[in-house]
Amino acid sequence: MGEIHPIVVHFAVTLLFAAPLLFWLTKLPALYFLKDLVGPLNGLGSGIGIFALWTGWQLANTGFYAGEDFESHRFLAFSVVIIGSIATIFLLFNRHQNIFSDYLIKVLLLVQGVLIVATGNKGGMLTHGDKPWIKTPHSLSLNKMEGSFTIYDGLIQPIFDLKCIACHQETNKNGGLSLVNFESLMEGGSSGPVIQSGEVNQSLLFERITLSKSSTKYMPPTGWPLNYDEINLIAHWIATGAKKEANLIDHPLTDMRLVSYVEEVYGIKNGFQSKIEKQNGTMWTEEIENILKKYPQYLQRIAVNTNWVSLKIDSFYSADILEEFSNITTSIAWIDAGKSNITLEDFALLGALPNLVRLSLDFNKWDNQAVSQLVNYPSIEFLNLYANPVGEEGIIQLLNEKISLNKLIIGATQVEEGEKSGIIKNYPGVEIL
Amino acid sequence: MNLLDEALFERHQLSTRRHFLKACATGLGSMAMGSLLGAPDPKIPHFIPKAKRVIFLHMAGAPSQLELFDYKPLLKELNGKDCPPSLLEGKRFAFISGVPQMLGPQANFSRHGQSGAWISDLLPHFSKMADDVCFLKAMHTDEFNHAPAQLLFYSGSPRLGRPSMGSWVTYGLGSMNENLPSFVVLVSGGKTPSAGKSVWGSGFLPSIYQGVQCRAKGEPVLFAANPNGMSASERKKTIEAINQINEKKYQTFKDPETLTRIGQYEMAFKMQMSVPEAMDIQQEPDYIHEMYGTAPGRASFANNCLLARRLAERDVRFIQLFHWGWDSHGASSGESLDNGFLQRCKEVDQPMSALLKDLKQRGLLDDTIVVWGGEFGRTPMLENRNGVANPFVGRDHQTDAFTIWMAGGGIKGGLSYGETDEIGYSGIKNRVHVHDMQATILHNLGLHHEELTYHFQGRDFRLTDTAGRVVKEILA
Repeated sequence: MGEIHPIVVHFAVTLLFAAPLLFWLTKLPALYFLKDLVGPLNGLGSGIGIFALWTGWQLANTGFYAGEDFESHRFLAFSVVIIGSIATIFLLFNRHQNIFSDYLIKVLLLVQGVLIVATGNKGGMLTHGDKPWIKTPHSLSLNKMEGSFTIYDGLIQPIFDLKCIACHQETNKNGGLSLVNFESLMEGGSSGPVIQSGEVNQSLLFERITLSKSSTKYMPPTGWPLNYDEINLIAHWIATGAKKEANLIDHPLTDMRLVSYVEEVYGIKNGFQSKIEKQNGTMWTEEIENILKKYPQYLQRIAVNTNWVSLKIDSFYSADILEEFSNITTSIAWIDAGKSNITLEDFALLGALPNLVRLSLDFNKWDNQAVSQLVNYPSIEFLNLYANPVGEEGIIQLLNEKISLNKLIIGATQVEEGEKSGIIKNYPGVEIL
Repeated sequence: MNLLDEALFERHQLSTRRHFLKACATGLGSMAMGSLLGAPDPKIPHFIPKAKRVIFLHMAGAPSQLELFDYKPLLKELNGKDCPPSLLEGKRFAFISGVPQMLGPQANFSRHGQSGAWISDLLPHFSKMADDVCFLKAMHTDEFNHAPAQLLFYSGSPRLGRPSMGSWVTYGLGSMNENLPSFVVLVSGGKTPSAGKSVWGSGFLPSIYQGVQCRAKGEPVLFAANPNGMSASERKKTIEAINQINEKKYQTFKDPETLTRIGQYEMAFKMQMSVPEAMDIQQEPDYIHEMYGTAPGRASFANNCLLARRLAERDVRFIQLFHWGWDSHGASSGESLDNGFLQRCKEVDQPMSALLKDLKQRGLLDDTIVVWGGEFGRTPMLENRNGVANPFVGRDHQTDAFTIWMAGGGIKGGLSYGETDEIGYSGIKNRVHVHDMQATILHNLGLHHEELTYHFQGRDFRLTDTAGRVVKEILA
């Protein structure tokens, strides 16, 4: 029953907030007739609160939560239920005549509200980590890049925090081992160090989490066991030297299953990710909608769940239409202008295009001068210049300025094979074909 | 309710007043639109697509993975030994009966590219592309005969009547092109696949979504050209008149197939101009012909590969190539590993590698998914038809393990995903079912395979039936 604790809690909280609100609202003459509802409502809230206490107790028995925050959460929750019950009794007695002073009930209800907020805060800390009001849990923050966080802090410590720390912390050091941070882990326990850098199978910690579940030495003895992927992550970290500061770029994951697990659970994107996948685009307005409807053969929304727009320019384009498109210049992310004979001047009519990430200009007449002007578009990631009369000079000018570029197609241009391999060598960050 | 009743019921439904108000207000509007374009309107994908189009290279008959990609040194040692009974128990084969002998790899293998992929020496051109493709080495399917397996591969069901993958894709995404069909099929090797034209049929989807087969030799589309003595303007008038009659017919009966008919007449008229232009490989420079090994005027896989690139350039959404003759049982010289198979390898090796290379250098591989494979794999045992050894070396049909490769369009290059056991009999790690492959292709086109549905006979149908997992591990 422990799993339903969060949902039960929210029922109780809603009612225990609603009752005081109603209590004050019934002070208004128009709502006075509802005053007898306040007591039962608060009673129902307290009742569900007692049920929530019980489900919480079950959840705690999994051994999954412990520590100071947990203790406070439990203490506060008990207080809420006790205060709520007292307030209910007072309210019910006061139905027909004022036995208890109205002032006392007001204070009780106020204390009840404050305690709920405090309890919720502590509960949030248990599931969402520090500062639950402003921070989402680590597993929900998306789109981190591999290099931006370290294997230990980003991937390994969270596993300990989730599944080990109840019995292995400073105040509750079972086996003399604390897993609160890297230093305490490396200190080891009463049987010595638990991690042998580089030696997965010599590491006591790894041995204990991979024993048969029926073994008395298997860890964790209660609560949720470590899953296959978590065990493999720990193995990867130990095998690559069990370092504190290393990140996934220093030690990339080789197992495809782990790569996709890390992407799914931790939101760490492996490899290149386009700007339009990281951001959702400018607001979708009626103006954009109208212009898309007007020119369905040119403009299309890239996907239902984004606000980015793709533009296809054919050789029948007119300057007026391009000028009209400049009204939605911030929404345009992809442009396919292959074989369109578009000129730089006409292209400029589309406006600043701050979010243009893909640009196909194959089979056009863009030369060095024209191509070098593309540095003015800050977000281009993919650029196709196939079969354009551009030479080495223009390409190098572009590459020197364009840090956003990820892939560049320069086949059938005036860049010769020798020059091409030179460019490829000099700009290793860009895939040049 | 039988099919006739259902058809009648649907017709009544289509002609009720409510339906008219509900569907025809937009229906009529979009009809005018549709008849202007003659192609399905573009639709918005569910999420940001990695690819815009698909080129499917199907080796009909099922090539042997054990001679091409799935290198099994142990099988070499076991060559000629009797197959242990544990491998035969409870298994059904198309032809093998009694106790067959094991058959070692009939080709030499070496590792290629930075990724070190194992590729047979029968594919010398293709081995240079090793770092651009992703091998799915533990594919598996449910059907061990060609026709049902091909149907499963393309329509998600081994029985007739479902729309094929290309139809689903054009239904889900619409056309990118006003002048060409969005689903084109090219066949080489002299025979259509065993499952017939159903592998590019539209099933219960409106028939505007079905694949259009273009001939690689002679006129690409039969009777599309004007007969002698008929001018283009005359033809135009004729089609306009026919379409006016059809539109009246539509007003009376509201049959969506009439709309398809109107659209197809207009498409055919546009195709009179666009198809000969697109299909004319003579326009290509010499070095391209050399690269693909094409011979203009002949129906060949090479010509079709070059055509596939030309169609991809013209934004045809789904291009499906079939090459015949991979069914290497060993019953005849043409269908044996020691002869016919070697010929087939020679026929496809250079053109398919050239296609990849050409798409890549033009920047098209970035948003084109290329898939190569057969409908199933072949056994590690030598086929003994009816218990008697075949006159030539061959292998029987095998469903439990085979290899396909995918490239481009958001698929990770230089990756071998999945593993088979030591003799290549079953996948043991990272198995991918045919439905998973379909889900993955749809995913990269921006479509959610569970949400791309069509209501028919009282329920929603989808390409992946009730299964399918996007193989996220192979996505770039």
